[in-house]
Parts: sequence; C-alpha cells; structure tokens
Amino acid sequence: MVKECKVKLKSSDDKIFEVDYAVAIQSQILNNTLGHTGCTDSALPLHNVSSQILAKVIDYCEYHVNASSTISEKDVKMWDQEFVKHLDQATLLDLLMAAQYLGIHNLQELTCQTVADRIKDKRPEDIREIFNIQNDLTPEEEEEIRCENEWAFEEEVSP
Amino acid sequence: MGKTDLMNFPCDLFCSQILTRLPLKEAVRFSAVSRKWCRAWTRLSHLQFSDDFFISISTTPTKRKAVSKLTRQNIAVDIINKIILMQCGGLEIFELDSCVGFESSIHKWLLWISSSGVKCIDLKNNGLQLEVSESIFSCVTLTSLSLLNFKMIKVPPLFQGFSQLVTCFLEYVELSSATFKAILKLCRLLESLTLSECELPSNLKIISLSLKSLALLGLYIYSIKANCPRLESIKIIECNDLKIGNICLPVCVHLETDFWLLKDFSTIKSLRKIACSEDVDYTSTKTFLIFKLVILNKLKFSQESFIANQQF
Repeated sequence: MVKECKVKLKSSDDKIFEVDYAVAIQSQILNNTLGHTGCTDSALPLHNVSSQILAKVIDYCEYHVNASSTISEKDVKMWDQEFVKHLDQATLLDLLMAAQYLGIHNLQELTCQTVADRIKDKRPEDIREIFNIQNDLTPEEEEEIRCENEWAFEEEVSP
Repeated sequence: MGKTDLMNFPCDLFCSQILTRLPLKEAVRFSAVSRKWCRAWTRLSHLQFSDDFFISISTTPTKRKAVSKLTRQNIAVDIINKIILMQCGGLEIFELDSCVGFESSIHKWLLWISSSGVKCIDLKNNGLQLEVSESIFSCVTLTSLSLLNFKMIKVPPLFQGFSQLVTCFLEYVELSSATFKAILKLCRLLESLTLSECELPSNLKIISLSLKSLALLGLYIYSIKANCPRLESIKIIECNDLKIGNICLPVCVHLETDFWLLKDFSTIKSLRKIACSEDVDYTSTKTFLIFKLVILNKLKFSQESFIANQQF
C-alpha cells in the first residue's frame, strides 16, 4: 500500500522541505520514524543536515524513486556520475555524512566511491592539495612514516 | 553545521568506507597525508592482498634489488606480517589471492586474524593444491568462507564449528566424506553452500537443518541425497555423471539444472506438476532449464511426456 501523503523535513538551518512519502522512505531512518508516527503535519527535524545538502539529497532521492522501475541501469549510473561530478570536496563529504546519517545506502555508496576515486593514484602531496589539508607533519615525522612502510611509497617502475 | 573537510571527518567512517575502496598500497600511503591519518592504515576493515598488491610490491626498486626469488618472497612476507600485526581491531574481511610461497606464513596470518573477530575469509591458491591450514579452524567468528584450490584437512577434535557461518564457497577443494559431514553438522547457521569442481564422495549426501541454497557445479557425482528441510533452491550444473533418477530432494525446491540432465530418463513416477520459466530456449541443448518442483520425492521423467509438455 503506497502512502500518498507528503512528508515535511526541517533542515538544521530551519528550512522546511516537502517531499512525497516514497521519496522520504528511501532513508532508512525516516522509514523507521514514519513507520512509528505515520504521516504528520509537523516537520521532522534533521539536525545534522543543512538546507543546501538536504536539497541535494532530495534531488537524488526524487530521481531514484522513479529510476528503479522505468530507467535502465546504465542511464541511472550515468545520472549518478553527473550528480557527483562537479561537487566540490566539502559538499561531497557533507553529502556522504548526510547519506550515512539518514541511512540512504546507495547514495552513501556513490559518495564513498567518488571520494575514493578522487584519492586513487594520487601522492600524499596531491591529496593534500585536492582536499585542502594542511601538512601538519614535521619533516622528521613524515620521514618516519615513509620509512615505516617504505614499500608503499616507492614509485613503481616498469620491468 | 559547518562545511566538512577531511580534517574534521570521522576517522572510523573514513577507514571503513573510503580507505577500503583503495588498493592496499594506497590505503597505507595515505598515512603520510597528515597527522590525523597517520595511523588510519591500522584500522582497515578490509585487507585484500590481491594480485595487484603483489605486483605493486614486486616492481619497486627495493624488490628489484633483491637478488633471489626467495628474498623477494621474504620481503612480501615481511610486509604482510607487518600490515596484519599492526591492525588494531575492526578487521572484517581478509582476502589472499596468492598462496604460492606463503604456505608456512598462512598459519600465523590466520591465527593473528582469528583473534580480531574476522567475518569473511577468502583464500585463493594459484599453485599446486595446498592443504588448508589448521588455523582456519580458529576463526570461529566467520560468517563467510571461500576457498579455491585446497585440500581440506580433518576437522580438529575440539572444533566446535563455525557457529556463525552463513555462506560457504568451495572451488577445487578436496573433501572427504567425514570432513564434509562434520562441517555441515557443526555449522548450524549455514544457509548457502556452493561446491564447484570439488573432489567429493560420488554418492553425495547433504544433511543440514539450516541450508537454504545449494549449488553444485562440475562435480563428478553419481547421486545426490539432500536431507535439508529448509532447502529452497538447488542448482546443478555440469555434473555429467549424474542421472536425474538419482537425485533426491526435499519438497518445494526450486531447481535449476542443465537441459541435458532431463534427456536421459526412464519413466514418470511421483511427479505432479512442473512449471517452466518463460525464458527457456529449446533449440539450444546447453540451456539451463529452470522449473519449480511442487511435489517431489524421486524425480523421473518419460521422454514422451516431456516432449508432449514442450509447448509450455
């Protein structure tokens, strides 16, 4: 039995978003909550998710609620790649945290894989640049780390 | 909430969700990014010593300086020893894609990870068939076990079973009748068993109160008797010595098998109804026929009846 009601969600910065029930229940957390309380008029507070991120999460869930039955797997994958392609690091990480907090498994998979893809094949100095990380290691500490696992830092040479 | 960056990103989440998607070499290399991550490589939930890993540690200058194959092997063992020993908990999946040259090390690696509560072990042996290390029986927290190209040893007398084991995948594994029976009996939560190209007793008896799904691929067996009240589906592919009349299954089982298995049969006995799936291609003799047996004791067909029923 598919519920027709709308669900109200409130972001951490007090903005209200209204979504269909089917969209909301893609989140395991919301699915459980709505299972207990049913559809109410009051907005469900999502303390850990800002309005900017919640808007993106809703975009994702709205596409995916229809995707499973009507769109080919290949097209869904392409849409997913477009969705994450131009996200800056901070937004991507926020989205990952939100997906984890809300229990949206496929969004979590997508964002985790995207972060991993951005790290793959990069040297530590490149990773620092991409993710805007300060190098807080002293030269001695860095040397120690590199010696501890020397094999991991050696550049591969073709035979 | 302020904008997240990697510096205030939870370490545990990062280790279990992101670092595990990187090749092991890169996950370890991440330790040089910043102080926060310098020990992230000791909290990996998934250790995969894949072919890529062995390639990546054999094409580096240090390795190439090593003169003999033995020295290169020792370097690999040292690296793996260190990675495993330095893990401080949270290891869930352990995969080793090459066992050649590591026969004596595998014993201690399995012992070390057995104390970490490892859930899933996948060992692939790419050389001559090896005896499974006895240490495997110390990994009592396993929920999934996968072995390729091993000879199963006798179950140790004090072994209580893999009490959490749900999935078991054995390929090119040699198992005696007694060992097979003991493992089935001691793994009380086993739901899914796949036996592919294994050396097993030719009259295969499977007794399990928990088994739900069984797959038998490329086995040289003459008969199957499955005493598994919870069995829901069975797959029998390329077991060329098997005759349809020698298969004894519990009722209400979904059977997937080669088309040719049905060609060699004598008379219909206790058969009520066969429902065939729509995507059967009768023109190809190697097609898999999927049907649900509603009531089944022994399965025997008559050629005439089968041809007559072909229109469904």
